[in-house]
Amino acid sequence: MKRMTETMDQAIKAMGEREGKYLTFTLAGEEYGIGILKIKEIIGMMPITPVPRTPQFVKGVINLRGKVIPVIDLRLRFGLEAEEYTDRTCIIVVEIPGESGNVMIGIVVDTVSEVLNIKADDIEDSPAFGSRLETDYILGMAKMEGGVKILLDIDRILKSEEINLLESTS
Amino acid sequence: MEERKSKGMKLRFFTPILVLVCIVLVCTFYYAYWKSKTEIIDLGGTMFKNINSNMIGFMEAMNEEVKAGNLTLEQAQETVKTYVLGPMRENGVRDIAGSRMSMNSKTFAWAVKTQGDERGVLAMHPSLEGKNAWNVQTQGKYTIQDTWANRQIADRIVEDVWQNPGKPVETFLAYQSYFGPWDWMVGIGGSKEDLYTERLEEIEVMFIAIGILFVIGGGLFVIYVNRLRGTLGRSIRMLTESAEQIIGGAQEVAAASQSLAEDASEQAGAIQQTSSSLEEMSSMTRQNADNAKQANHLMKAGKTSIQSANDSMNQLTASMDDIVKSSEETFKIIKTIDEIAFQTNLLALNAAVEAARAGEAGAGFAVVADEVRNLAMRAGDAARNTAGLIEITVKKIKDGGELVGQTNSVFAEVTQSSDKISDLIGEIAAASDEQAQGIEQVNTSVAEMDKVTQKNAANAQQSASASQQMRGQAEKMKDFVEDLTHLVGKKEQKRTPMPERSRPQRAQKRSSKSKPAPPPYKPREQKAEKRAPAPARREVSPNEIIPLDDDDFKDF
Repeated sequence: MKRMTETMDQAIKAMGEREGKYLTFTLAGEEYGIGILKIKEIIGMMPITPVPRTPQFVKGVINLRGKVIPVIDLRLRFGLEAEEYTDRTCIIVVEIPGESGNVMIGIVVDTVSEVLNIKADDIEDSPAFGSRLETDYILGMAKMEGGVKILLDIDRILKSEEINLLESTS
Repeated sequence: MEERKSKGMKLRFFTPILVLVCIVLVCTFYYAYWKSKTEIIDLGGTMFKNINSNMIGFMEAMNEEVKAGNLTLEQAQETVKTYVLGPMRENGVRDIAGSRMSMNSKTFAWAVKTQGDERGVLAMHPSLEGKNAWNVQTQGKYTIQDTWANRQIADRIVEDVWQNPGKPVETFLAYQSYFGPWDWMVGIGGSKEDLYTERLEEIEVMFIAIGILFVIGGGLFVIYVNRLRGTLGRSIRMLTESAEQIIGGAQEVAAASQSLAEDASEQAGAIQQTSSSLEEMSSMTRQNADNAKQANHLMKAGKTSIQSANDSMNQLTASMDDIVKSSEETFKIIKTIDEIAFQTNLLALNAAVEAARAGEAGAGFAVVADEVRNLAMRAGDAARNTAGLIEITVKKIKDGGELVGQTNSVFAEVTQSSDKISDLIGEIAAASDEQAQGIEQVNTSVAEMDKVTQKNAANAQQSASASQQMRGQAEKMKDFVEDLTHLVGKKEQKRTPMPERSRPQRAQKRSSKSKPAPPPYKPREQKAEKRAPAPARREVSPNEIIPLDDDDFKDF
């Protein structure tokens, strides 16, 4: 399974086909994008049950139609300032590969914007800030009119142990 | 000086008076003397006649007795003699003290025979009874022949000269009558001297005394008159001075009165001006009061307007509140719409996600989802815009509400101010009314003052004319005093120069200076003129004022 995913990614990468549909969202005024195929569902904010003894960015769990899904706050994960949730705050439910199959995780973002079709020509690799910085969670930079959208590799946002932890919580 | 004066006075005045008085006195004396004498003689004659008739009556009665045979003739005669002259004494002289008819040695009765041999026999006599005295001659007069025994002159008063033995020759006054039956020529008489000498002496004494008294009195009178003259001279001098002073005073009074009259008329004019000014002021004040009242009404109207405006503002505030509420409702609705749009957006995104998962098959669906999303976005934008607009509206309404509140408070202040203004205007109106009343009162006072001043002017005019009159009278008095001075004998003093020249000129100057001859004040009321009936024109006789006639001086 793992291999299969890796192969798929590699295939995508190999294809150089980062081209495709992305769901864009805002986080602290910046636009980010997530590959649409990673996304399971987009839901509005709903009551989150906090889970003790978890990292700070883990807000807790939600009950999504009978399934308990861990929710993380991307702001906190990115080390941004925490913000009060509004009626525009959304949870993007993504499916990421875990040790025991795919794991569904809710990601709290400020707002959900739109579904964009981004061409390969508009996507560039993330610039090399230095070997020390971890930039592997950035899939690429989408050059758009009036700015740059950071395309996130949602699989790499969380480390494997973190994913494991989340798996265990759910 | 005094001597000369008194002499002059005597000569002028008193010598004729004294002479006249002396003449009168002497004449009176002589008249009184003569009259007394005549009267006494008459009286004595009458007395003697009465006694004589009594005696005759007695003798007749005795004769009746003789005829009746009760008495003899001798007895009867003796009775008569005894009765008349008293009893016969041995020396042939009758005791006249025993007379029942109060005879005495000087007044006595007698009887003389007139016929026959016994012619000239004294039938009855105090001392010569029985003696024939036919040829007795006294001071060359045959008294018995011519008078006592003369039947021709019976029953009348006679005068004769007789001398009783041992007595001086005396003139006798007697009454004699003839008693036929006895051939007695009965006479009764007395010494004429005895009859009236005493009385005439008394009269003489009296007149001498009167003369002495007159002389003394005259002397005293002269002394007194001299003194009086001195006093009178002083009085005259003083009178002259007084007259002059009165003239001066009268002139001054006249001038003062004239100027007073002028001043009073000026004052009257001023007062009339004041009165008219006051009337103007009064009308202005009344106008003020009316204006203040109108202003008060207007203020009240303004107050009601402000009140209604206030009410409108309150209504406006309420309306705005309603609008705000409605806006909030709308806002809620819009929020709901926004929510729905958001949810729709989410749904569209999910649809897009699903379409993407479906791959080629979901391409159409993806388009639909995108359209739905677009619609949702538009709806959301519209809702957001509307919300913003509503928000702005609400904000503006709130601002407006605040403004309305401020306006309200300002209106409240305005209302308070207008209340105060209204009160003040009311007070002003009341004050103006009172002022008008006060001015009215002042006006009436001024009118009274005007009347008084006019009266004053009239009175001053009157007093001016009166003082003129007084001056004239004083002048006349002065003339009289001069006449008096003449009479009293004072040398004519030099007439003290009249202040006539200086004073009136001054007055003239003053009057000419004061104003160009203001017309003599004419009091408006006819009464005043009637009261002063032009007294200056009436010629007043000085005698009316100083009733000194020449007679008064003659009385001196």
